[in-house]
Amino acid sequence: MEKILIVDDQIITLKMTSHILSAKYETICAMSGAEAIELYQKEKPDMILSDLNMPGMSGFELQNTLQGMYEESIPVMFMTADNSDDTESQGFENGAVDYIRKPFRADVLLRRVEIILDHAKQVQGLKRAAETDPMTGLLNKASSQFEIGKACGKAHGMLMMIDLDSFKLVNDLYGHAMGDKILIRFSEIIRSAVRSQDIVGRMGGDEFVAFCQYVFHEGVVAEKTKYINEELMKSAKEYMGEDMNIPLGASIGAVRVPEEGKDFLTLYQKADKALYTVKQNGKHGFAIYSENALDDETEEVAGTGIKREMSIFKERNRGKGAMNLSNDQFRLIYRFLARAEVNYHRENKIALFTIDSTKEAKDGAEPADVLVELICDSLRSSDVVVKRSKNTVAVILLEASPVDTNMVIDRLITKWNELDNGMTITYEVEQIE
Amino acid sequence: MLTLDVLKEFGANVAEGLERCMDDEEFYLELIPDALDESYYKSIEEAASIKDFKQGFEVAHSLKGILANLALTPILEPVSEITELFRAGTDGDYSKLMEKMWEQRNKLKNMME
Repeated sequence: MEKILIVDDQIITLKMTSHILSAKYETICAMSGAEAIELYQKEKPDMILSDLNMPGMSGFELQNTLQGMYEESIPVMFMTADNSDDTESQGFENGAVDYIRKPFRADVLLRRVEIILDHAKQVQGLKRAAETDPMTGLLNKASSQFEIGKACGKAHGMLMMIDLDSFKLVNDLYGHAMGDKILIRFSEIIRSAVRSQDIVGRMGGDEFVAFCQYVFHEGVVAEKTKYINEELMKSAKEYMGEDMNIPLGASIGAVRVPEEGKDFLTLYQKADKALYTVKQNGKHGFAIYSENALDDETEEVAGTGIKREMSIFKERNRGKGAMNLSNDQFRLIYRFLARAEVNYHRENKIALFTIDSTKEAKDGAEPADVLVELICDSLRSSDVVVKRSKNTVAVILLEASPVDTNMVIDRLITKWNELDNGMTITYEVEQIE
Repeated sequence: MLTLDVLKEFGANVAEGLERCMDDEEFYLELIPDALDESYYKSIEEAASIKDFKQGFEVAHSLKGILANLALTPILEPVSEITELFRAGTDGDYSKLMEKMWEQRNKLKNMME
């Protein structure tokens, strides 16, 4: 039921107006402008019906004050016993949507209020449509910038850029309908990870933004990142099957407001830098922008030309052993080596290991996870490994002669058997071409 | 006792007043005594005597709204005239209008008892 705030210093008029409107609407009554301002804040009515001439604050002043406070168009209809055309004209200039002369007929008042509320609803609908991303129902890019920009100008908190990792593979492998389903679910998960008063929007594609007021601690961002990643993976497996091996996840770049700025563009650029750091360091995580981190980054990429580019390209935090990659990264390397093979005829091999078991490994891990770990620990840093399904793992062995290949595979199988987990593995090896 | 018939006899436009109260007779009759509150009339009279037209206008304008809503035409007529004179700041003789205002107000008050 729509809510109408009625303002009149005259108790009898107030009672009569409320009596008429309460047949169809929820009414709230105020006897002065000051009381109306207080009630507006608390009740957020759908429209205001105010007397024009009131001691202390006139209807015009009340309307101006509220519009100044809330920066929004509030439907106001004035009631007046005044017959002056000038007053009426001033009211419309002020933004009044309608006038009604006192005394008024009940049916006329009801009809005019109905028209105003219908119109306000239409305007609201159009406004909502213009502000909303139609697929996810979140704010669209322009509205996110506006709303978050406005909030960042006066509130403290954390601005987060949230990126869906490896989303392209969903579209490529499962089709765009599945891609849309994942995006919708991802937006629901983000929405559920923040509070109702936080602002969430879709900036485009698989990139989202959220502003959480009064969030300052790294631990909170870490919890949100964990929650989003867990929920996303659960939903992805539900939609695409347990065998789904796309490394879907969320990476979050965050920036503190107002410490790092108050305007949207500055904050967004900083959050983007933090996000880049996450992407460089294995995805599915978060980073909070800080000036020191930026200094390190700047130092690393200092210089110009090729040195700078190399610095950007270089692998950070390189661990020991083989590279554990996602399917799309693995596929890229495979394709590159296959191209190179045309000209250079290198002994590059691909091996596919299949684990013959229906058992789960310890701690609920899938058998392939255990094998990937074992391979990463056992092979060279120039070798590449990927989990293809819960029972299969693929490996690229660089510059591996048949003898080397056999030795490597024997070693892996021996180590696997030493685990004594009751699962056997078989394998196939082929030259990359 | 106040009834619709009493109001009709007084000269009120009962049909109009009732319509403004969504034909709720009880509600309409409940509001009438408030419109006869002596303090309004005294304030108007005093404002005229000390020539405080601004204050007089505020009160008269307010009372005019009440009387119009309740369709108490016989009192509304003099109060409307007084309101317009106060609005214009007319420094004239208000005695006849005041007399008429009180006369009508008291008449209804007596009819109600």
